[in-house]
Amino acid sequence: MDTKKQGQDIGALTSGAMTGPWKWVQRKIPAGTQVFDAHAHVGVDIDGRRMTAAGMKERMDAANVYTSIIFPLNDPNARDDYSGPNDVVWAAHEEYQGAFVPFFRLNPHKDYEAEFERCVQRGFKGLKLHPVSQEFELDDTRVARLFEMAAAVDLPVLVHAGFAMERIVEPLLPTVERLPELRLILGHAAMVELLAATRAFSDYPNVLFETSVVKAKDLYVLFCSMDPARICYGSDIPYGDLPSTLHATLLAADAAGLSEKELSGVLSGNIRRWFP
Amino acid sequence: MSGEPLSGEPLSGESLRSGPVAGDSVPDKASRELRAGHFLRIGSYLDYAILSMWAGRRPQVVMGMAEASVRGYGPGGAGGPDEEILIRLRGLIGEAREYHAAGDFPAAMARMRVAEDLVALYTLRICGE
Repeated sequence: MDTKKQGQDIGALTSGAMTGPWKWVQRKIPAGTQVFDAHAHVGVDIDGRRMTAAGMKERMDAANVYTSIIFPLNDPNARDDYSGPNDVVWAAHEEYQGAFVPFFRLNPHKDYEAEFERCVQRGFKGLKLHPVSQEFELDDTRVARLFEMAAAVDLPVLVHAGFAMERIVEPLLPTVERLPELRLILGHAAMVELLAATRAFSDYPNVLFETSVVKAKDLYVLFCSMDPARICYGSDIPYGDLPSTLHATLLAADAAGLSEKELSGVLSGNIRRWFP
Repeated sequence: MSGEPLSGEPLSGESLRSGPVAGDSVPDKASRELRAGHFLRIGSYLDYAILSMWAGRRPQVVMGMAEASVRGYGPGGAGGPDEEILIRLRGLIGEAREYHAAGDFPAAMARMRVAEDLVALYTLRICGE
């Protein structure tokens, strides 16, 4: 089958055998929590997956998710500077005011200064970097410079720190030590180095752990090892979906004994502090 | 962890999919270690299946293995403590296989993820009993 095909029916994510887990998820979300998804994509990927702004909004509405950070996929039309896919994200932000927090994406191997400046001036709220797709290490000098540029203008950076990553903590720690003011989101919660990352970054309050498509058993370890105020929920649409990623996060948080206040922070408040 | 169902509504006990098969032989009492071992097995087959789905390598076959791993009573037998979650898993994995066969990858993957997460956290709960 084509693994890139979108579901024909969003309702299939919450019906049949998913009815029980979805009802449980809805019960577990603390009253008054406006769920904030800190990791989602709009655009087209080189692997064939795609998500439109309308499709993303439809999924948010179906799952009662109020806000999503969105950024480009690994777009085959990115060319050198990612300006085209970044424009798609900006258009989504303009079309659905208030629903999306737009991040732009760059390739550190290419000349990125002009696109960085253009996106900051335009009003993008953050930067997404993907070391696997763009084939770079987190301690590459060009990447370190990008982190410095982002810190200089107080721009949050979300780094893919999930599937296919082998080096996360060791190459990132010098940057975090040098730029403690840098606001950094570890996409997928540093996955294979999750526990090491909680130890390395525990004293750096500007480092957040984001939960998208991380298994519940990993998230249980995360919730038991890190201050919940440093953890934020994500879906990774179109690779993840809202119901099953919310289920994983809530299941792990429940097992770890998070309070309603802590849970509300994970689902909304912790990331909303950066994007009120 | 509490003794409530990990997630979802309490079930009636009716099997949603193929349940225990004739000839099942079960011990009167299952140790905590045996129960945890059974769910570790199921979790590993779910892991295989999810990887197979992403890779597009014989996914229906490997999903079938995951589905087979939840057939039959758990180590505690028909009245044992694990039957409710096994019923839930049969429903999720069975539907996942159907959605996958019908070409709806997200609906299939969502069910497999939920099943794997339920198994993992249930195993932790058994260890803590």
